[in-house]
Amino acid sequence: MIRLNNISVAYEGGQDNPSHQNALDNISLTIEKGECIVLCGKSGCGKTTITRLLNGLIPMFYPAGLQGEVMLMGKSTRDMTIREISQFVGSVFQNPKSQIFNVDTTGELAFGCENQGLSRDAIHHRLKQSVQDFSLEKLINRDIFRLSGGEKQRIACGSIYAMNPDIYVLDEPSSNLDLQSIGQLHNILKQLKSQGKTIIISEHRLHYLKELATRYIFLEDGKILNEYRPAELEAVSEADKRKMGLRTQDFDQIDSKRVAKQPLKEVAMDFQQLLVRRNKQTILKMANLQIRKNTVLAIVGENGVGKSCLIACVMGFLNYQGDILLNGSKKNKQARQAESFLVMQDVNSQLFARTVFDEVLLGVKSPDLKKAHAILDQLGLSALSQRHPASLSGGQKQRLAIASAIYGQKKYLFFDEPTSGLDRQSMEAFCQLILENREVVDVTVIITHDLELILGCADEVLLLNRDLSIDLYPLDEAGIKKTRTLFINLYEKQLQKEGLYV
Amino acid sequence: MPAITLQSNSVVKIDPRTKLVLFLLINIMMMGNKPVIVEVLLAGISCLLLLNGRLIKETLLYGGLFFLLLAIDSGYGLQVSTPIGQGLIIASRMIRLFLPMVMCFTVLMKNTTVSEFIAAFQKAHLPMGFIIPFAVMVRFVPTVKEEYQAIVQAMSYRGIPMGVKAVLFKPFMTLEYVMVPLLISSAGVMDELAAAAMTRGLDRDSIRSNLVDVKLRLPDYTLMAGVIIIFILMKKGWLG
Repeated sequence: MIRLNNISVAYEGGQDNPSHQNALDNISLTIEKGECIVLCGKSGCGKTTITRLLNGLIPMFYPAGLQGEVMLMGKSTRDMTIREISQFVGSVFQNPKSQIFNVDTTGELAFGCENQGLSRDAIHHRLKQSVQDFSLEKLINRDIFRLSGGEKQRIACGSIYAMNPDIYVLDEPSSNLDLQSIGQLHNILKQLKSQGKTIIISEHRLHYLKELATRYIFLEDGKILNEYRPAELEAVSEADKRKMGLRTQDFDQIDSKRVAKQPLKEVAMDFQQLLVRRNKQTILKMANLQIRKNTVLAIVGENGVGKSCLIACVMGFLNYQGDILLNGSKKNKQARQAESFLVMQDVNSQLFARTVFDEVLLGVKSPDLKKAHAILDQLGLSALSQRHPASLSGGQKQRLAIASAIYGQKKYLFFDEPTSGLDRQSMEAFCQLILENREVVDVTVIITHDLELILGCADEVLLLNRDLSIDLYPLDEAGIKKTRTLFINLYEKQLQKEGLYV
Repeated sequence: MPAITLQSNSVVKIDPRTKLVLFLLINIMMMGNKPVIVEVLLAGISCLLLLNGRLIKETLLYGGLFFLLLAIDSGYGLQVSTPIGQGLIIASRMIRLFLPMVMCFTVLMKNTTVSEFIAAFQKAHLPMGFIIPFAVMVRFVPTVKEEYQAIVQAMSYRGIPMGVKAVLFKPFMTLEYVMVPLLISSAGVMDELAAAAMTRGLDRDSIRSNLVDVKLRLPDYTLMAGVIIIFILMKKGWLG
């Protein structure tokens, strides 16, 4: 069905950046109908490049030097346009924000079919089928800008499904999703597989693909290093997987060597009778909650339970009733903003300066150059100090944000899902970074859906539930067990719930 | 399962072409020399369009501001003699000039779906080479808005001043701090959007069908005729 013959790909302009010189290096791969292929490996190993070859974006959209031949159903992609390929290859991308062309959900579901020139009746029929099979009833006729990432991703899948392609190409579809949405994605893939569709999926997170994958292709530096059948990959030890940069397949196997034990320090963040209401509905309620100094706090919970709200309250972006005491005193908005720093999910919208060095100095009245250099050095950014922030990789941008926070002597550091889309190495590097800097900041708060991250660096876990109840517990042995069970239950509950529809 | 609709949420369906024609005509008329009665009529029509799109908040805000400024102008306009007072009156007239335009633009952006635009333009036999960039533009406006909000938040805790004072006294610095991240992140989003749209088969050569049914109906003709009649009457000088 799909054949890649001796493919090499070099991105244009890749010469300046040696790591990208050859995105793919003479690889060959044959995929049969009905297979579910998982492409895995570290960031920059060439996973995404393969998906772009299959939907024709390389070389027709992203300029790149391509050698070799991609054969789809017996035809070379060189002889087809992206539109012709789109008749039988459907693509789902990583970022939910940037793959929905319409401003309304129904328009998006119909969009692909309209481009194929189907009749109105046929489109109606396909839409109904899509909505029914993926249980999208609640999502039709909605404004795109009011959907969560998981909901957008389901719409994207539904829109492709309505086009009825034989081949599905997914590029890290789970990286912006919470556990529930990943469960839903699992069910969608399961259904596609049962219909005999061919699925190619590039992914870091492997746990949700366990019963779906027929083959794992392991890539490194643009080469196929190894190929595993499911049983073979499960037999690979966790230590080896770690060397390969693979995320875990099994929540039970995540190691948690460190047990957090904090001496009882003074209270740094104190929430008293906090109440947040929006549209006459209570979205967050906290009677009494204290976070002690130098704590790394992980906030977990389903999408839409007010995790980001809590951060917005502390930073003064949102109005609330009750009190938030920081180091024992109530402070006004400006004072709180001066002491806190938020690293957003999309770091791009918070880099302002022309060079990395200026970015660190930004907003500080009397700059101390020596200290700035020292911090950049410590975070491994000194070689990049004259580069433009926009030219950095995602991980480097995060480091830069942390560098500015530490330099600005910010006391409260917030992260909104920092490890979505990171491979294992980068995720572990992030944990390391947090642990190294925890003594410098008063409180580090991380919103996350990533169990590996939580067990890797958090001291305490704050669980927000849909019924507004909260649970704060230290990550000691009992806490680790509790969190693990929580994640397993959340995911499996979703599988069973959706199982009724499938 | 609720019925599948592709239309924007309006009381009476208005064709995107009508909205565009009204937008252009109202622009031309507001910019030219016109009596107050024409201004009132055009602002009234714009308010009606907003109300039709159930954009209540916007109607109250823009419509209210327009008529408030008008009332102040006609009540005190001639009595003001100090330079500052006259300056304020001129400023208020400038703002008034743009309000109907803003209202029509809001209707175009907030009350029209991408599918409606594409369908209407295809019916008007415009080339895809025009339709696709236009559809991208419609999608671009809310994207920029979303990014802008994130940037302003980030500025607040990076210690970059943002507000009336900063815009007035350090306009270029503020502009740079807003525009650079805005352009970089919006450009990234738009690039990926274009790639996604192409893999869904959008192409200059594609022969598209449209699920949404756009048609010029009685309300469309009435609206357009109304504005054209105002235009002719104004040119003839019959409106005072």
